[in-house]
Amino acid sequence: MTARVSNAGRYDSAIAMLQARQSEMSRAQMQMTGGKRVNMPSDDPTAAARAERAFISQQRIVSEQRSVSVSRNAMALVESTLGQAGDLLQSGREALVNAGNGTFSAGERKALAVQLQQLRGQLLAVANQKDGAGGYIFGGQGTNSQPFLDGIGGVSFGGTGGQGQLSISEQMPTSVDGQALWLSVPAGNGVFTTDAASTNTGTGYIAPGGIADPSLLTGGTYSVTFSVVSGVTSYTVSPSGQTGNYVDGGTVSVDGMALKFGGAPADGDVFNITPSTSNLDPFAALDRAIATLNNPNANRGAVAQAVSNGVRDMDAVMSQFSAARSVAGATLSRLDVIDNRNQDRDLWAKSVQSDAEDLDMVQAVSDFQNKQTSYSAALQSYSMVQRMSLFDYLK
Amino acid sequence: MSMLMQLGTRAMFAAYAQLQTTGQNIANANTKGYSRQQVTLGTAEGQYTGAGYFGRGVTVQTVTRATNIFLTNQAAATKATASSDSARLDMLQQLEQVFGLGESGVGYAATSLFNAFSDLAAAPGDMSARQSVLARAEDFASLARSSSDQLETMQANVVNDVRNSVSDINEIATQLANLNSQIVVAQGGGHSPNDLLDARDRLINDLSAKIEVQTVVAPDGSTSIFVGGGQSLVLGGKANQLVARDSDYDRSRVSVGISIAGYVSPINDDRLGGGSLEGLIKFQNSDLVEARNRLGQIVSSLTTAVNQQQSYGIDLTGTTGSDMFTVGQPMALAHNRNTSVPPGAVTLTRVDPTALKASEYELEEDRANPGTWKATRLSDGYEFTGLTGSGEVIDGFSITFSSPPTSGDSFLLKPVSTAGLGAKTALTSPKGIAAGIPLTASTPATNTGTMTIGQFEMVSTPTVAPVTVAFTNNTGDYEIRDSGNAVLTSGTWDGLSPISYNGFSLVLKGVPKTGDTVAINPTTVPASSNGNALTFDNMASRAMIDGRTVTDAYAETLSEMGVRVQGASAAAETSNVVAQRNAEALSGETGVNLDEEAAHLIQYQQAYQAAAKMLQTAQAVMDTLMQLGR
Repeated sequence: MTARVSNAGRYDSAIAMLQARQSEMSRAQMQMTGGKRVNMPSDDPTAAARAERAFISQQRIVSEQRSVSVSRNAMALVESTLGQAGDLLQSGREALVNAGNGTFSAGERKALAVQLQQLRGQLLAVANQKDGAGGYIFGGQGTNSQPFLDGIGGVSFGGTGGQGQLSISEQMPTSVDGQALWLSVPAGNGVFTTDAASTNTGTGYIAPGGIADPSLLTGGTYSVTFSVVSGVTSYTVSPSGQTGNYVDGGTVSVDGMALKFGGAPADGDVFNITPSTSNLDPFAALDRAIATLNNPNANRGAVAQAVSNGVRDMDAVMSQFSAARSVAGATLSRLDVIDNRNQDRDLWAKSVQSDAEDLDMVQAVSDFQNKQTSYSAALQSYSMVQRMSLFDYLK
Repeated sequence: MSMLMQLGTRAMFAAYAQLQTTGQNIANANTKGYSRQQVTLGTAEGQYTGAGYFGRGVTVQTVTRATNIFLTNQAAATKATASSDSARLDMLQQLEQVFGLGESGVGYAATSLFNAFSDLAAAPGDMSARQSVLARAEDFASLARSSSDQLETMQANVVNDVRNSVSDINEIATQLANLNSQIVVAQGGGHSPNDLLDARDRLINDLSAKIEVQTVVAPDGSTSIFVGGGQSLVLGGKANQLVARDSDYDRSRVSVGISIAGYVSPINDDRLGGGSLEGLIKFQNSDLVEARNRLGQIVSSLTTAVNQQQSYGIDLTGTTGSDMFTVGQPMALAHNRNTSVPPGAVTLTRVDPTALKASEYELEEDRANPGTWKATRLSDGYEFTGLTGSGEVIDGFSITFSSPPTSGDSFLLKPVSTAGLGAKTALTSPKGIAAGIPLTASTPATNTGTMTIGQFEMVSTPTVAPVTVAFTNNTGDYEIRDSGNAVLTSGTWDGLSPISYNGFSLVLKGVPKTGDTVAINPTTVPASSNGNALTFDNMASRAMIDGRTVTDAYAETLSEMGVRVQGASAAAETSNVVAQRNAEALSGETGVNLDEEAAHLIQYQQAYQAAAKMLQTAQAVMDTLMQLGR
């Protein structure tokens, strides 16, 4: 330091110093009023960037949570709608079982057919359930109008296959593939389908059958022809050539399949066994049962076969629906997981943002008081020092 | 007796001169740039007598001012640095405001746009969701536009400030030249013209606040002043003019030159050394360019990617989407000394939005390989060589010579920095948003494996034709077949990477079995298709800006700007303290201390009284003599 000090210089630097103190205090005050330590990127560039990222994550999470809730509503609707559909199918099944009562007249059967007809209508309405946002929950990846249309050839699917999705990275479905769920039920018992030939005249019928030994299955087509010779009913299986005498309610094992027949087949009655395909739909199944029940001339064998087939088909559809229900339930629980995870992430992002840019109030108040003290000390010393002058002593 | 009288008179005169100078010092204690003066006294030559030399008293030789050339120069130089730093800091603090935090930032605007697409995906046919996407797009465009406008306003302010500074400098230079002439004349009188010298020092100090100067004092007392590393601004009694000129490439940027004898020679921006002029030009050339490039990179990458994705999707009516944004086109600026006739012209096109970098480029002939051109990336000096102007793509943009330049021509390429200028939404109808995907993938129920569709999106211009992806074995070999079952292409799915064909990208999950298929058909219901909206939504987490997400790119920009302001602020604080110290040191050396003057006042008053006493004694001696004669 130089020994000399000029008065003007001393005033200038004292004033500059006081101003610097004052601006420090006003900055501290601004931080305290705003509650934020980072008001501009330059206050702390790294923290500003971190706060920015955390802030944007929160915006994204809000958006993703909206998608979760849309998906959740859709899946809850799917779940409850499938429950309704299951109830309808259960009613249909009961009506069919009733129709199997051998003592029923044609008129009584017709009444049941009408009941089934109504159930079918209700089922179609359920299949065309809207999602409340202009779409259809069974519409797959989009449809212009109702996805299930009743036509001459039965009910057809007008939508696009697949599932509507709300995210590329997460599975958040908004709809279910109606084609796969409603119109592609595995037919028969899932491995093969049994049915009576339409030309049969006896009262015999074939049950859905079961699997005796999966290793022997061939996946081929079979037919079982009955012949009645002098009161003895026997059967021949084609193409295996297996023959035997018929026992009502007995089981015939063919290539690992356990076939079960009932009633009294007439001579020349034929039953077909075909590999199962995934093309069963509840509407067609009901249509077939209704047609038979509506036919006043249907013999007991045809009715019994229709009831057996109908019950089998209802069961197959119900099992498909309950599987789909559990998928919807699993999706709902996965959405809950996403929801929880998002809430955790949101909390984390909020705390990151707060850590990065918020002010530690206790620290800030104490700093401010320090600054205040030093400012007042500076003011005091300034006024005392500047007051001293040699001229005061010249009298 | 007359000797004693003479001694007394001289002493009184000297003491009076000292009192007068002290008075002058006290009077000017608060005058800016005033240097404390003092009287130089000398002992008059003694008179020789037989008894030796008798002193003849005191003589007032001259009045000098307290000065220290080293401190004066030091004060001026540190002031130049401090003014440069504080000018740049002032501008940077304004610049920082352009990049808002949180909801006022570009990152938020972009994220809101992606979020609006997410809402649209939930209801692709909903007009209000579509309207909301358009509104968010407009928000983004208008923020990009207004931010760019603010940057351009700052550029215009810099140009204006530089022009004003230049005219101030010229005014001061003229005054200095005049003072030099007056000082040379006054110096001829043999005494130092203190007030003129003070005035000159003060002007040099003022000048240093604008531009750093070097001073050279000539024997005749004039001070010559040099700027920009050796260009003479003032030479004796003659002043040259500084001029503000358009920079070589860019007429919106400013640069300085000096006009000597009618010829303007440019002063290299790096050689200005200091002063507010340097601070402004440094801000213009470094900070503002960086800000423009970073903003431009985000805007051009995002808008180009959105426009491309629009063209991959279909709108509500099933038509291919059109551009959502219009932005400022890339520019190539010719050097003002380019010679080719007709003038060479370069056209730039943004091709790959993900590869665009936040930089400008300088394009010139590659001297090592004449006939080919090289582009230097100015952000890091990387050179792209072997360019011929036939549409080569570097860093995501293509370079085409629309009119061939000649050897010696050079250009400044701005691929991204102009993007924000005039950014606006080109779509006006919400129906035009391409939320739909032109192809839809689905798996038939007959599939036997566990394969499901994980992701299906459009990644390039689609060919809308039905195809089937059919797996021919259990190990992932597949064929892509057309509707007539003819094999178009085949491959092996590795369980990880997407299957791409006809513009789509298909990611599968699970395990496909022999005979399993994925049917890819033209979308029949555009109103309920949301595939492309999902892709837009997913852009939020896509590394689409030079390997970073929009959020990361913007956060990085924020911190880059913050670091610049922080650095400039620290530099300004330091250089300001240094300048203040130096000014204090100078004023300590040359300024007035009132206590000292008070002491002098007493001292000189006493000397004056003593001298007066001497006269009284002389008179008493004379009286005694006279009485002897009575």
